[in-house]
This record gives sequence, structure tokens and C-alpha cells, in this order.
Amino acid sequence: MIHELFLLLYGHESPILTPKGVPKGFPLLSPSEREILLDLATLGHTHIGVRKECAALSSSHQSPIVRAVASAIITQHLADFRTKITNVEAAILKRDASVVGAYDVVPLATIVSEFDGWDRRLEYLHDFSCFLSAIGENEPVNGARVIDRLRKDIHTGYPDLEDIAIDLLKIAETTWLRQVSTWVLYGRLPTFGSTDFFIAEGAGEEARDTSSLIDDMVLKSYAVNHKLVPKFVDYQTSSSILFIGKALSHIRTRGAVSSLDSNASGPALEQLATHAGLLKALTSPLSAQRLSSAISSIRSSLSKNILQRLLPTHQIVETIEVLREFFLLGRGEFAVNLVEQASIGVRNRLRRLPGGGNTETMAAPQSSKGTIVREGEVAAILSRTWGTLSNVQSDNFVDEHLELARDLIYLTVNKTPIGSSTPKKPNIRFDDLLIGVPVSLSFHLTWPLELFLSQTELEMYNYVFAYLLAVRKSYIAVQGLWLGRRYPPEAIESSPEASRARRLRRTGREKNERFIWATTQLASFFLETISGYWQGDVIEAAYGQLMDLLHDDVGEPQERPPTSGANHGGDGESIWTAQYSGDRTQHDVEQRTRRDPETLMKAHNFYLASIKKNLFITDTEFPILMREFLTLTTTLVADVERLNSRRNLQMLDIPGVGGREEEARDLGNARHTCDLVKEQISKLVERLHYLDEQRTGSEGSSDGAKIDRLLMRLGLSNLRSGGNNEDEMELSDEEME
Amino acid sequence: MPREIITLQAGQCGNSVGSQFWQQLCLEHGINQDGNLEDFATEGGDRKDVFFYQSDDTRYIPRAILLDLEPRVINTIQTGPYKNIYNPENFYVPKDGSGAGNIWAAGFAAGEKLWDDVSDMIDREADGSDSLEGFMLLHSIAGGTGSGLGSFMLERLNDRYPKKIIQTYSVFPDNSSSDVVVQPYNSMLSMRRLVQNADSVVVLDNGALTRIAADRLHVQSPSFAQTNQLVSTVMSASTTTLRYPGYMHNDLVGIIASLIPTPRCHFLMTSYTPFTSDSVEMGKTVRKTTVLDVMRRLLQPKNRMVSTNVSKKSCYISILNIIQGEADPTDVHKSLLRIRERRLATFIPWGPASIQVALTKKSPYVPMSTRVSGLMLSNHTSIAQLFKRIMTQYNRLRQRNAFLENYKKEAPFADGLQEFDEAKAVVQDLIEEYEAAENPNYLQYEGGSSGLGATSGNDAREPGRTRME
Repeated sequence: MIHELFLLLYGHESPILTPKGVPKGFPLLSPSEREILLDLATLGHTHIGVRKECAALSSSHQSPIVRAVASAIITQHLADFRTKITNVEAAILKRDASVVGAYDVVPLATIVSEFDGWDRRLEYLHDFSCFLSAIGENEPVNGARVIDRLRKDIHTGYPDLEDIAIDLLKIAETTWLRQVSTWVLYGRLPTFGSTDFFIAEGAGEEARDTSSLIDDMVLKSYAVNHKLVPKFVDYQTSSSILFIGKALSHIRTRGAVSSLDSNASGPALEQLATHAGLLKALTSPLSAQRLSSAISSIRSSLSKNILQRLLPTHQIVETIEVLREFFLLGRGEFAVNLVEQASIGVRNRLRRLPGGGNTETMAAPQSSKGTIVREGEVAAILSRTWGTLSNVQSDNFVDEHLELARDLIYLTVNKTPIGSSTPKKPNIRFDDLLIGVPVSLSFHLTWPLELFLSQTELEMYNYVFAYLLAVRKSYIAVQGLWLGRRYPPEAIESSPEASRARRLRRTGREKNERFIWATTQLASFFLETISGYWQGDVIEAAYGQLMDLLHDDVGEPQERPPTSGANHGGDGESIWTAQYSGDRTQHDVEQRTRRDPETLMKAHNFYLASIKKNLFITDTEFPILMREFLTLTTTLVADVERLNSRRNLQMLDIPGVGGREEEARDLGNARHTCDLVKEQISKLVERLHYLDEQRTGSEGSSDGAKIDRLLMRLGLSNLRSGGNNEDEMELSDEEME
Repeated sequence: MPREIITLQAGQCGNSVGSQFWQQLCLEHGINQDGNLEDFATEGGDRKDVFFYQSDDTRYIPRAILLDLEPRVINTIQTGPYKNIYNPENFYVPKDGSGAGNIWAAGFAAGEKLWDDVSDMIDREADGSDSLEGFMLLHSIAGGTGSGLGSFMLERLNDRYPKKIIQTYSVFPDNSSSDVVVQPYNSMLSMRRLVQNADSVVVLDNGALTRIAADRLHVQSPSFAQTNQLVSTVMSASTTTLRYPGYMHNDLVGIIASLIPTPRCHFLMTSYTPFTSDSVEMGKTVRKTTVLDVMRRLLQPKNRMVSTNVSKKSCYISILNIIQGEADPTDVHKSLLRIRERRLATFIPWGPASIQVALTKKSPYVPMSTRVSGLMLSNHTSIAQLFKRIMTQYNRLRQRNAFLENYKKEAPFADGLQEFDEAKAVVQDLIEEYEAAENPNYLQYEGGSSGLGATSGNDAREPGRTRME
């Protein structure tokens, strides 16, 4: 019987000692003995269960951490248990007095007491192995969760369980570190169990067009899967790890093709030993602090030794400048010329259409429906723009940014239909407003700029570009109405009556059109003011702050003169100090190394996000209202042009041309559009008021609070309340001299 | 693509102001007296092409056409220090060169004769530009050539280039000290063309210019050269946004669109501050030039280059401040806030009450002793008073039918004097338009189909319009 018992405990199923204890009919057993046997049987079956689970896990689980832990359970903890069994058995066979009583009686109670504590341990292991093999949330448990759980289990309060947990944690963390080190040292994903690793190749890969797939030197994009990050690794560290590996992987991929071959992949190996040493020094249980400091020293060593050489700060600054001048329309000329060239393109296309004689319609989105825009045409728009831009340059002055932009920026037809791309993207699009079909301005991302910029950021830039350009285009179109407002010259009339009649007609018409012109100017004013605010108070201010930060780091004043007109503080507290003050105190010693591309990248990301927010792109309502407003202005422009051409016809004094009814109808249409435009402007302003309140309310005087400047500059209060500046007039007279 | 602007200078005043203007532009762009770039002019970033083009030997040549009916001023230019920058083909003085004798009609009639030659010049300049934005006419409206020939040119330009901007810098006569008796006639007749054939008129009141020059320069009676310097400073400042492109206001139409809502009210006033010795000879130094100081001074009536009394109802239709130099957007914002709080500017009740501000670069080649300087372009209803003054003087003269013989000789008056009546009616309409703009119901729709043949209806309305005085 005892033999049977030991066999069971050792891990063999027994017909007598079932999980429910000894079968009912079994003779010679007292109820208390039955109870004891039941306990032991349970212990044995737990052991069998754990062993089975772990054996299965260690050979088939997709996570290497789970496998390692499972096999550690078998090889260490379960082995310990077996050793214990053997020891007890040996004691019995040796008739050790502590176990075997008189008449060779082995009291069951003694055996039970021998295994005292093991029930808890096995129970724990059983519970733990169930956790390992559990399938939660449709997917098997991953390494990160195992580590998290073990770290928690250390604190159960039982010293023996703590030992087990620490032991298993060590195994798990070592395995995890091994994964991390292949990534951090070589920039490779672990070959086995890569699905378990928290860094994975980005999903954006398929979206790339085929031409780049042929090129196998395409850079893979990587991303952190936060579900797979152990809890003790903070966000900062995980993104640093991502950055290091990504940089290494890029260097590896590019190293082969770039001319920097010798000094690109070389240093990576030089630093290998140092970096490996840093990782080796980490002991389990890993402390978040030490891990992050090891990672950040690797990061800074990498930056200092390799990245700085590959991608000097001035190159980054230059890129940011080019992006600002062209994508963010910092160069007004670029926007103006692009819009002009695009409208030439649209006109040419319409002319080619059968019956497309009426080219005056400004409503590009409607008019271009059904026509297919070729890539070539779109590219030609941009190349004509470059041509005109470089024409205005003096011969003895080379505009480096323009040259760079010419090489790197290209305009393409955007083929991705609405909504098919990432869901994060704002769903109101503006990219179809330039020529009627969606186009996107792209930046030819080359090595080593890939270390700094990613495709996602460029997409963001492109969105901002489309948004700003759409506003600018409307502004230009509205202003265009001021060309050709004059009446044709009048011949000196022979009869005073005739000239008088004509004059009266003209003043009458002008009177009727006052409202239309006032509204047109209001639209122009609104577009101008908001564009000016965006350029001056949002983009330029953010840019100035970004540059301040870069120059703090760079400390190379000879690179460029101080940014003129940039907003250096004043009332608005710096968004950068808010963001980085914590960082600064913490890494005061590392001040020197903060120029690494990753920090710059983060600063740049923050810059872009701040711009996006302050252009109100991130708001849910504003872009929708804006888009509606832009459409309305297009209608307004068309209406006013129709009125103008009718007026010119009538001024020719040809009888029967330009009837009164048509004119009244046109006028009515235009007035109706004007009403809508005004209404839309007040909606936009209302939204701005709302945003102003919301942002000042929730964030104190952060970077969003400058909307009040815009609102003040718009000065539309007297429009809303209908001339409430009567008192203003009286007061102002006193002020006047 | 540069938005080229062709400058037409007509008459003595126009040419004197013009030559001063070109000198100023050459200094600002680092162009020497031969039209070549100075060695130090290496900064780039400016747009010389708006006002200059490059000849085959890469010299910079002004897009300017210089017209006069008598050779004196043009001769001075052709012998002056900057004689070599102009295209010699762009000077036009008729062979007899006897002038217009301060008679508008003579200048206008002369235009007819010389138009063939002059239109060739204009077309040649227009063809030489990629994307012509418009024309700038510099003239005075008091004499004979600038006013008469200028008027003729405005009509023809309007006809020939309907989609190009026509802007004028028009010097209005000083009513107190005038040596031309018929100037109310000339002014009135020119005014009609300025109303009907220009998109924007920058009014430079000679009286105000003399006052400002005397005040700023501490001289009893400033010379023409000194007042011309004031004008050229204003002109160069008002074109800085075109010549030093930033992100906004890169073209003339943008400036005009933001200043001129309704087509008829297109007469702009200017103020400039500070006038230091940088811009005007013997100018005095100025103590403070913060953005707020500059913007506040721009609003003071004594700095306006048009002398008008501000009535209770008069107000700004629009304001555009062009601030040059080291101006921080935050300072600009604070200044705007202060101006608003202290209600230093009253606006029309039917439009946005806002001072628009354009920040621009300064020329790196012209040293400036002040940190910031500012130009204000404004559309103010009180300018109607200037027109009323002209009207009063005109009426006084016309009642006596004085000095009309010289006019009757010329073609426009061959059939009678209704040209005078027409001009007067147009100016009267203009005055009424400005007065109406002070009312909240300015935009109110009066119905009807813009008076198509509805003469009686319009007549009925006219007396109903109240005068605000």
C-alpha cells in the first residue's frame, strides 16, 4: 500500500488511490486513514497534473519564456519533490526510526508530515501551470504576463513560495533579456518566439506599393506592442529599446548598400562588447531603474558613436526647416505658386474634355469628376512650381532649401480610398481640394534620415499640408475676386442724360452689391487672419521653441543665425520646459548626450503634435466646419464671378443682353450664399470660443491657450451682436487728439 | 513666380517721387548706381523681380515708364546719379516738350496723341513679366500732366488690362498754399478717373506731408526733396511684403483685398513712424520704438498723411499695419490688446473691427537706428472730408465759370462742359458712399435690380439719403 502510495506521489497513476481517495469498498481502512490517504492522493495527482501540463508547455508553447519556465518547473521544483519522495522512501526502507515505528509500522501521519508544505507548493505550481496553459483573450498567455505574475507572486507571504517565484522569475527574465539583447545588440528580432517579443514589424508594410517591395533593401518599420511589454518596463525604456534596435537594424540593412559601409557597421560591432557587458550586469529580479539606465547608456553610446556620425544635428535641423517651409507652407510663395500651377493644370484638363469650354468654374471637385488624373500631370504641377520658384532666385544666391526640396519632395495622386487607411487618421479630408482628386505631397525619405523621421510622421505632415493648402487656396480664390472689380471705362457721353442714367445705374448696382462684397471681404479676412495666426502664432512659435531646444543641445552657434521673429517665450510658458523639465533634472549629467536623434525625434514629434492640435485638426468639429466653409467660399466665388461677368455684359449696353430677371436671380443667389458664409463663419468662431474655453479650462496656460489671440484679432464681436460699438465710438473720441 | 508690378510715373511730381522711390529700392536691395549688385549684397531672400528685371548683362532695371510733357524733371533724372539704372527706351517726353500748362484737358488730350508710343512701352514691359500683377501710377492730381495724362492712362489701362490691379500713389494738392489756380478743376476731373479706373488709391495730401515734414524735421518750409522722401519711404514700406516674402501678403491683391471691402471706397490713408534720419535727411531721432509705441503713433491723426478732421461718426473701414524689424508676435498681440482696451481705433459697425498686422523683414543693407518701424495703410471714412474740400473749391471756381477757356480748347470739352458735371457727380457719390459706410445699415439691401433703367427709382432714393453732418 505504501509502495502504491509512493508510486502515485512519484507521478504514476494508481488504480487504488484515485483523485477521490480510496474506493469505497476498500477494506481495512479507518475513516481517518481514508482522509489521510485522500490528502496524499490529491498531492500525487496534483503532481501528475503539473508535470503533464509543464511537459506539454515546455515543448509546444509559442513563448520561449513560458517554455523555459515550464521546463524549469519540471527540472527543478518537481525534481526536488521527487528527491523528497526518494528520501522518504529510502528512510522507510532503511527503517529509519523517525519514520518507521515499532513492528515496522509506518504511520501514515508521519508520511503526511514528511510532505508537509509540499501540498502548498504543488498547489501553487499547479495553479501556475494552469495559468501558463490558459488561453485568455483568445490568445495564449505571453511572456510579459508570466513575468508580471511571477513578480506579483513573490509577495504571497510564504517564504517557500517566494523562493519558487524568485527562481522561476530569474529563468523568465533571463530568457526575456536574451530576447532583448539580440534586439538591442544586433537589431534582430529573436528568431524563435518573435510573436512573444514586444517589438514587432509594423503592419504598414503591405501598404507600400509594389515598386518598393522589389527593392529588398526596404526598411522594415517596427513598433512596440504594449500588450507584450512587461509591466516593470516603463514607456520610456520600451521606446528606447525600440529605437536602439530599429537604428541597428536600419544600419545593418543600409550598411550593406551605403557608402558608409566601413564606418557604419564597424562601430556597431566595436560597441558590442560594452553593450553586452551592460546587459550582463543586470541581475534578476530586474529593477526597472537599472534596466532603464542600462538601456539609456546603450542608447547614448550608440548615438554618440554611430548615429551622430551618420546623422549630424544640422542635417536634422535642415530637414525640419524644409518640412516647415514646404509642408507647413512657411514659404508663402510655394503655396501661391502651387495653387496657381494646379489651377492651370485643372484648366488644361477641362479644356481637353469634350464640351469642356466652360473653364471658369472654380468648383474643382465637381468639375473634375469623371476625369482621370494621371500621375504625370500631378508631378508636372509640382515641377512647374519648382521652376517658377527657382526663377525668382538671384543668380549669385543658392537657395539650398529649395534645391533640397526639389530633390526630395514629390506630389502624387493619392490612391488610398477614404477610410481604408489607419483608423486613427482624421476622417475629414482636405487633400482633394487642390485639383479635385486626392493628392499627397511626399517626402523621399532617405537613409540616414530614416533614423529620425518615419512614414507616419510624413503622413501627418501631408495631412497638415493638405489642410493648410486648402485654406490657402480658398483664400487666394476669394482674393482673386478683387482682380477685375473695376467697371470698364466709360466713354464720354454725348448727352448728359445718358451719362447720368449710367452713373445712377452703377451706383444702384454697387449699393445692392455692398452686402456681397462686405461678406466676400469678411471671408477673405477670416481666411487671412486664421492663416496668419497659424503661421505666425502656431507654427513659427512651435518652431522657435523646437529650435531653441535643438540649439541648447547642439551648442554650435555657427550653424545658423538665431531664428528671426520666433517667439521666445514672453507670456506663454514654454511647452518644452513643461515636457522636459522632469527629464532634465533626472538626466542632468547626461546633458551632453541629449543631442541623440531619439531625443530630437521626440521633440520633433511633440512639435508636430502641438502644431496639429493648434491648427485645430485634432478637434472633432472644427475641420468639418472648415471644410464646409471652404466649399461655401467656392460657391461664393463662383456667384460673384457670375455677377461680374453679367455686369460687364450689361455695361456694353447691348439691348436684350443680360436681362433684369437673370440679374436679380444671380444677385439673390449670391446673397443667399453670403448668408450661408456668414453663418458658417459664426459657427467657426463659436467653435473657436468653445475650444478656447475648453483648453484654458483644462490645461491652464498651456500651449493651447493662445486661441484668445486669434479671437481678438478676428474682432467679429460687433458682427454678432449687431453694432455694439456705439459706446466705443464715444469713448474713442476722447482718446483722439 | 514673382508678381511683377509696372510703375508708371507721370508729370513732374510723379517723376520726382518715382526717382526717389527707385533710389530707395536700389539701396534696400543692394543695387548700385549702375544696376549691378553690390559686392555685399549676398543675403538673398528678397524678391527684386517684383520691381526690377535683369538685362542681358545681368544689370537690374526698374520696371518703370517715365512720362512727362516737358523735359525738365526727366532731364534731371537722366543726368542724376541713378541715370544708368533705367531702361533708356522707357523715357517718354514729346519732342515739342511744352508741357500741359497745368491744364488737365491739355494733359488728357496729349495722352491721345502719345498713346501709341506709350502703349508699346507698356505692352513691352507687360510681355517681359511672367505673371504681371498690376500697375502703380505715381502722379499728382493738381497739375496738368500727372492729372490729365494720368487720367488718360488710367482709362486706357483699365480698358486694356481689366484683370490687373491698378494702384495709384496720388499726391493731392495743398489747399492752403497753391500756385495753380485751376487745381480744383484738375483735381475734380482726376478724381473721377481715380474713382472709376483704379482699384486702390494711396492718397498723399501735400498739406499733411508739409506739416509732417516740418514737424518731424524741424524746418519751416520743407523742400520738395524732403516731402518726396516721405512719399518714397511710404511707398517702399508699403511694398516690403511683396519684396521680402513671408508667409502672408505676398501680393498686391492680398493687401488691397484686406483693405478695401466695397469697390468704391478705395482711397487709402497712410501713416509712417518713425521718420528718422535713416529715411529722411535731417530727421530727428526717436526715443522709444517698441511695437506698442509704433502702433499707437500710427493711429494718431497727426501722423496721417492726409489732413482731415475726425468727426464723431467717422471710423476705420480697415487697417493694415506693416511692421518692419524685430517685432515679436507676443508684443504685437499685447499692443493690439492695449489699443483695443483703450479704444484707440473705431471701426465701421458692419465689418470686422480689427487691425491687421503684417510683420516683415527689413533690408539688411540699409542700417536703421530704430528697432521697429511701421507703416499703416488705412481706409478711413474721414477721407471724404478731403473730397468735400476739393468739392467746395471746385464749386467756388465753377460758379464763376473762371479759367475755362483753356479747357474748352481741348477735345474732352469740345462738346460742352458736362465732363465737369459728370466728374462732380461721381465725386459727390463717393462722398456719400463714405458717409453711408459709417452707418450700421450700410449693407442693407434696397431691393430692385440695381437700377437697370430705373432712373426714377434712384432719383427718389437719392434725396432720402441723409447727410451725416
